Amino acid sequence: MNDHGAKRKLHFRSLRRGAAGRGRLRVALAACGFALASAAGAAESRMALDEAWREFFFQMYDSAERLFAQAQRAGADAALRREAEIGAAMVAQFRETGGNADRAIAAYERLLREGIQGPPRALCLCLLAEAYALQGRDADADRLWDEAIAGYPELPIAQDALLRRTVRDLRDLRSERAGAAIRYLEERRKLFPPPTPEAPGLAPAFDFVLGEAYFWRGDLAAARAAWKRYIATASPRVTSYSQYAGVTLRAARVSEQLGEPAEAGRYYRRFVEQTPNDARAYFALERAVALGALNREEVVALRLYGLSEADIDRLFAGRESSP
Amino acid sequence: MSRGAGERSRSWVNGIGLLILAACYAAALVNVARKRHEETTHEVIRITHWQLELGVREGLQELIRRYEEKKAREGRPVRVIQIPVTERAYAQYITTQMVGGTAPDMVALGMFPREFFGRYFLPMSEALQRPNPYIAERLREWDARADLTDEERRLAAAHRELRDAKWMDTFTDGLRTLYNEELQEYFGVGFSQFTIRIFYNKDLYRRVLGRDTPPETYRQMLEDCERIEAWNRERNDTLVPIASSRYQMNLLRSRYTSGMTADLFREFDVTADAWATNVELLAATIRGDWTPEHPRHRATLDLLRGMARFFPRGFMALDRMDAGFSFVQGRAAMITSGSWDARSFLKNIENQPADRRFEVGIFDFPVIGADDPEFGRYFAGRVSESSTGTAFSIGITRYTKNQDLCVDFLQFCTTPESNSILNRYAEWIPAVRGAIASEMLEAFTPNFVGYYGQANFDFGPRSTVLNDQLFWPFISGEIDFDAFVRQLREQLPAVAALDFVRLYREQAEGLPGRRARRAAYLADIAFGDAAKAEDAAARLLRAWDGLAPIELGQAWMDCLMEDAARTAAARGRLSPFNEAFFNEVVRELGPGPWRR
Repeated sequence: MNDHGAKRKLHFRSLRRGAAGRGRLRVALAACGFALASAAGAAESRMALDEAWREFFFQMYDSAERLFAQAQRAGADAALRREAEIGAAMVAQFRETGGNADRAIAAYERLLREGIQGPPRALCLCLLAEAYALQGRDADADRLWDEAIAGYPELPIAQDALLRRTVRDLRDLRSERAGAAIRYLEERRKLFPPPTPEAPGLAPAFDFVLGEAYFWRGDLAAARAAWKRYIATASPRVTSYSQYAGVTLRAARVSEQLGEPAEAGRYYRRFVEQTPNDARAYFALERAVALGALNREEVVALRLYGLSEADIDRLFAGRESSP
Repeated sequence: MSRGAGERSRSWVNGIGLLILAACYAAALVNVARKRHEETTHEVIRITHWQLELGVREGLQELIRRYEEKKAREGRPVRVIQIPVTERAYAQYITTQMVGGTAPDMVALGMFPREFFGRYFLPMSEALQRPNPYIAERLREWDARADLTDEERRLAAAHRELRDAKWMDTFTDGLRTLYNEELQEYFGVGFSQFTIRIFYNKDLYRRVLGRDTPPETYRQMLEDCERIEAWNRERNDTLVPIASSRYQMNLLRSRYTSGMTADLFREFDVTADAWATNVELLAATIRGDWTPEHPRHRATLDLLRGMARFFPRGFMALDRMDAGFSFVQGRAAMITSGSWDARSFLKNIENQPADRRFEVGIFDFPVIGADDPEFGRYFAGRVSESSTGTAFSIGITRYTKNQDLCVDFLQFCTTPESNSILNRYAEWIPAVRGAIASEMLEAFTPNFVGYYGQANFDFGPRSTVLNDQLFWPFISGEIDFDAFVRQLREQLPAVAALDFVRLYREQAEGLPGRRARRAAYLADIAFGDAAKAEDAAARLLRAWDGLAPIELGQAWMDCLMEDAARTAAARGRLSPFNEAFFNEVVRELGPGPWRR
C-alpha cells in the first residue's frame, strides 16, 4: 500500500472513531444527499421542461405555463432555471388571448442585463426584438436584431432575426422602406455560412421572401435570380413540396416572360421530375416538351402514370403550342 | 281474462325479461373474461375506421388473419381487433375516445379537428424514413421458390423495386397528402386511392342503342341520352339516361367547370405560378376580365344544364343513395360516382333478380370534341389526377402501449402484396406502388394527363353559398341565364367584399400561432444538444415555408388589388360591381393605399 492509501485508511479509521470524525461523516452524507437531491431536481426539471416545450409547441399555454413554473421550482441547475424562465416569458409573449408582452419584455430585459450568454442570449435578443416590434418600438427592435445577426452568425437564430426584421418592413412591398429591407437582407445574409443543399440554413426562406418582394416591385430578373438560388439549395424534402413546386413553376413562367425559353424549359422539366404529384405537372410537361427541354425518350423514362403512347404523340405534335 | 291470469302472464313476461338480462350479463362477463384472458396470452392492438363499404372489413380482416398467423409462427401471439364504426357516429366516437384517453391503438384519419394530430397521434416520420422490412422478407420467400405464378412474379418485381426504398416512397404519392405541414410530421399511412368516373349499364346500352361501347364525347353522350328518351316515348318506358342527385351533379360540375375554364384559370394567375387563387380570380373580376356574362361562364352553365335535362325529374330532392338505387335496379343508363362505390354497385346488381342483373362498364368523363359547335373552342381537356392522394389512412394514437407492434402491423399491410389483397376485397385502387388492382378498377386508375383549376365566382364561403343558391334554380330550369347573371351581379359585390375581408384578416390571424411554433424551434436550437439543434434548424426552415407567405399575405393582396383597381380605372371600367365592392371593403377595413 502506498502512502496515500495508508493515510486514507487512517483517515477513515479516525472518522469512525472520533466525535470529530462523526461530524465529518455527517457533512459528507449531507453533501451526498444534497448532490442526489440536486440531481433528482435537475432530472425533474428537465422532464418538466421537455413536456412544457411540447405543450408550448401545441399552444396549450396554460399547461406549458404550469410546467415551466414547475421546472423553475424544481431546478437546482441555474441553466435549467433560466430555460424555464425564458419559456415562461415566451408563453406570456405568444399567448393568443390575454398575452402579456410587458411581462415577457421585463423577463428578457432582466436576463440580458444579468449577462446571459451564448445561444440563450441570441434567443432573448430575438424574442425581445419581436416584442418591441409589435409595440412599434422599431429602433429598439432593430438594435437587438442587429446585435443577434452580427453576434451569432453561426446560429440559425441569427438568420431568423434577419428574416423577421425583413418581413416587418415588407408590409408595403412597393415602399422605400421595403426597398431598404431588401438591400439589408441581401447584404447581411453574406455574414452567414454559405448555404449548401446539405446545410441550407434559412437561405431558401430568404430567397422566397426576396423573390416575392422583387416580383411585386416589378423586377422580374431579380425575382427569377432569387428563385434560382432557392432551387439550388432547396428540394421538395428540405422545404415544403407545395412551396418548392410553386417557386420552380414561377421561375419557369418568369423565364418565359423574360424571353429565355431554354431556361424556362429547364425549370418546367425540373418541376415534372421533382414534383410529379402536383396538379400542374402535366401542364409543366407540355411546356417542357414545347420548349425542347425533354425529348420523347426522356418523357417515356419518366414513367408518368396514364401517359399513353397516343398522349406522347400528341405532346410532340403540339410543340408549337403557346402557354 | 281474470285478474290472477293477468298477473301470472305479467310475471311470466318479467321472468323472461330477467332471463334475457341475466343471459346478456353472463355473455358480457364471458366476453370480458375472454378478452382479459386474451390480453394475458396475446399482445392486443385495436384498429378503428368508418369504411363500412362492402368488402373493406373483409379485406382488412384477411390481412389481420395473415398477420396473426405470421406472428404466431414467430412465437409472438398477437391479436388485432378491427372496430368498424358507422360514418355518422365516427367523429363523436373518436372525440370521446381521444379526450377520455381510451382511444384504440390505430385510428382512421379524418372527421376530427386538425389539432388532434399533434395532441393525440404519434408522428410516424422516423419509421417512414426506413425501408418497410416486410417487402424484403416477402421477396426472399419468393426468390427461394421456382414455382411462382404470373401474379406472384409481377408482385416480386414490384417488391424488388421497392426493397430498399424508404417506406414513404413505396406509396404512389410518397404520402404527400398525409404530411402535416404545420406540425412537420407524417401521422399515418394510406391504404387506397379514389377517383371518379361514370358507370354505365352495358345491357341497357345494347338493348336501346345497339352497342355497348361508352360515349367518347360530351355530344355523343347527349345523343345517347336523346335516344334513350326517344325509346321511352316509343315504348312508354321510364328509363333514366343519367341517374343523379345534387351529389352526382356536383361531381360533374367540378369536372366540366375545370375542363371548360382551365385555360382561363391560368390566364387569371397573376403570381406566375400557373394557379389562380380566390383573390386572383376576384382581381380578374375587378379588372373586368372575369364577369358573370363571360362567354366561358355561360358556356359552362349551358353545358351542365344540357346534361341535367337527362337527370330524373326532381333530382334535386333525391340523395346520393336514391340515385345509386335507381342505377343498380337497371332503371338508369349511367351514373357518376367514385371508385369507393364500385363494389357496392356490383354487389347490389348481383343481388337483383336474374332478369334484372346487368353488365357494368366504366368510362372516363367524355371530353368535348374540338369540333363541338357550342363548347369545342373552350374545352382545355380532361382533368389531371396527378395530385390524387392516398386515402383510407391510418394513424397510431399516443395511447397505445404497443407502438412498435402498430408500426409493424401497418408495414405488413402496406407491402404491394398485402395492399393488393385488401383492395381486391374492397374493389378499391391500391395506394402502394406495384400493387395489383382488380381488372374492373383499371378504368379508375389515376391519370396524370390533364389540366386543373376552375374559374368561378367562389371567392370564399359567402360567394360560394350565393353561387349555389343561383346554380340549382338555373340547372333545374327555374331561372334562365339572364336572371342568373342579374342576381349574381346584384348580390356578388357585397358577399365578395366580405369574403375578401375575411381572407385579408385571416392572414394576420394565422400569424401568432405560426410565430410561436417557429419560436419553439428557436428554443430547441438555443437549449438543445447538437442533434436536437440540427433537427430544429431543419424544421425552422420548413416553419418559415408556412410563415413567410402569411407574413407577406396582406402585402401581396394589397399589391394585387392595387394593380386590379388601376387596370380597371385605366380601362374606364368603374363598374357598379367595383364601386359596391370597394365601398364594402373600405367600410370593413378602413381606407388604405388602394381602398379609397
